[in-house]
Amino acid sequence: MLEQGEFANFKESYPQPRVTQDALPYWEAVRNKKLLFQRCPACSGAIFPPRSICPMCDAGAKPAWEQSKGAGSIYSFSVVHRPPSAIWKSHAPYTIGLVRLDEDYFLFAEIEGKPEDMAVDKRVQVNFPDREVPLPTFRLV
Amino acid sequence: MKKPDRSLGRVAAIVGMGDAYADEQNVKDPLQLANEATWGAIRDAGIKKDDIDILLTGRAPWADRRPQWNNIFASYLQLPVRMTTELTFHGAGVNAMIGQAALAVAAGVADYVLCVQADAVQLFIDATAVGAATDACPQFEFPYGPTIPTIYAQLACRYMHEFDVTEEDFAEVAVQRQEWAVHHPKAAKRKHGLITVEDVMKSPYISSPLRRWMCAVWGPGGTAGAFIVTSVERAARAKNPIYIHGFGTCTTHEYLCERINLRKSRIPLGPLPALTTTGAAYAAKEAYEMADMQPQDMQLAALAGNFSHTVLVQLEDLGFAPKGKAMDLMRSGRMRPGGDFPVDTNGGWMGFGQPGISVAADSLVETIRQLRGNPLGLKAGNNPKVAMAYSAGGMLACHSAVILGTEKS
Repeated sequence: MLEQGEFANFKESYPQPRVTQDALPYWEAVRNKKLLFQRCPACSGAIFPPRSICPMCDAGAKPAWEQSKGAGSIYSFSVVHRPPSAIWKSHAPYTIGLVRLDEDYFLFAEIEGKPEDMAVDKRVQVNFPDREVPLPTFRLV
Repeated sequence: MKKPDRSLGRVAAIVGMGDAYADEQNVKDPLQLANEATWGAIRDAGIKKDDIDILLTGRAPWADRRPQWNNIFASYLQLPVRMTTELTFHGAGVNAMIGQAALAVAAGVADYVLCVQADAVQLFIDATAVGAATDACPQFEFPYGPTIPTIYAQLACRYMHEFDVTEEDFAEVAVQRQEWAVHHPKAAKRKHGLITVEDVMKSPYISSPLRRWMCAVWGPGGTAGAFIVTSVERAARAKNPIYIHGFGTCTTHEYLCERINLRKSRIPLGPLPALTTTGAAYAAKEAYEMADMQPQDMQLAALAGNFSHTVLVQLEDLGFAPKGKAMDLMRSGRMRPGGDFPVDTNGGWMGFGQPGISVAADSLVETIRQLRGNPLGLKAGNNPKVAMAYSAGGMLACHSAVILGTEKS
């Protein structure tokens, strides 16, 4: 098997997020078990993923950071039975879904809980489990 | 938004087509496959290699990810050209080469444009691992451990939820793709024979609600397609020209987490936020307008259905069924072997398989072969004269539609 460049290492360890400059405050907050998102001061729209200028209106405004309450509902989900690589095997089956936060933006994230309990529109709350790679997840309420 | 000039649907034709295949007993890398297909296309067009002015490829093959792969291939061919570039909006770029070649011909900067794509994922890389690393957002998606099916399954979940579609419906889509695939000598799933809804429902979940049979496979081993585009005037001297009646493209995002957070779009995607209408609708609309045709004028179609639910969403977005109603068309039997609207006649991405980025070239090859009446697998029963070849790329991101026909418009 030919393994190429940047793809060579991820099978042996959980992948770290490739952090962008725009998202530095987001990841700093995750380390403190807080969930941040941005809002445009001009159009009031919730912005995610983070940006340096609001892409949703023509004001060209710099988004402001806000703390999310971390409460939302399941918009869509999928239970992963065949994971992408060996490191995930002991974790499977796990659920990954799109969560619609009450502040009206979406996160793609793991939803903790029994696969059979998952359903569209079920309420979820953010969680910050102690793991090798700190990530916000959600759990069924 | 500026509309393309309708006359662009009357300027160019494909006069040469070549295809190439590899498997475990007959290993070829992407350069070898592209070379074989290119020489096939050159011979088919009745031209010389040095008649080619421009070389287009899609993005670098998964099995040979060197940047500027198009230039590597030009060099391999010893083909100095006026211009060469990759069209890199995922797999859709491979389909979009045909439209870009027509533009170059219309602008008078090229007599002949070579469009080529090859790949050989199964023979060279672990696509399950590399796939998600490529197509998931490396910051907000990939760290959670999704596969490509997991990302696509978010749409499957919403499609079922919004339109009361069931897993058994998804199984029926797989059954019908397999009905064509078993007749194609190069189809990756041919060896499994015909299947039933029960067979599909017994196959294990890959990423729910998608079971193994509802997913494309990373095969056959390798494929390539090469296409030579020239003016309709030159095409008049060719032995078997295929006319380019219309083309349209668009892209709406890169990662799914961007797409679901999209709240307004000048490309119509229905009320947002939502996932169940894609940019395919807009790409197809442009192609139909350029061709001065309607969806019902299409006598054959090649989709980009890598999963059961994307087949259904594409049938709707391309105008063949109302939104949420593609299963009615599926159940009508019109798209099956012997039907009056054959679709995915090589088995589609699910049945023929997905040998990598070249899968979009395989759909073009199949469309041209059916229009010329010389398919490798089962012949469409309705003698199609005009067809839609559509390709998707990325996570519902990039879209390209081409309308091809046997007669000059």
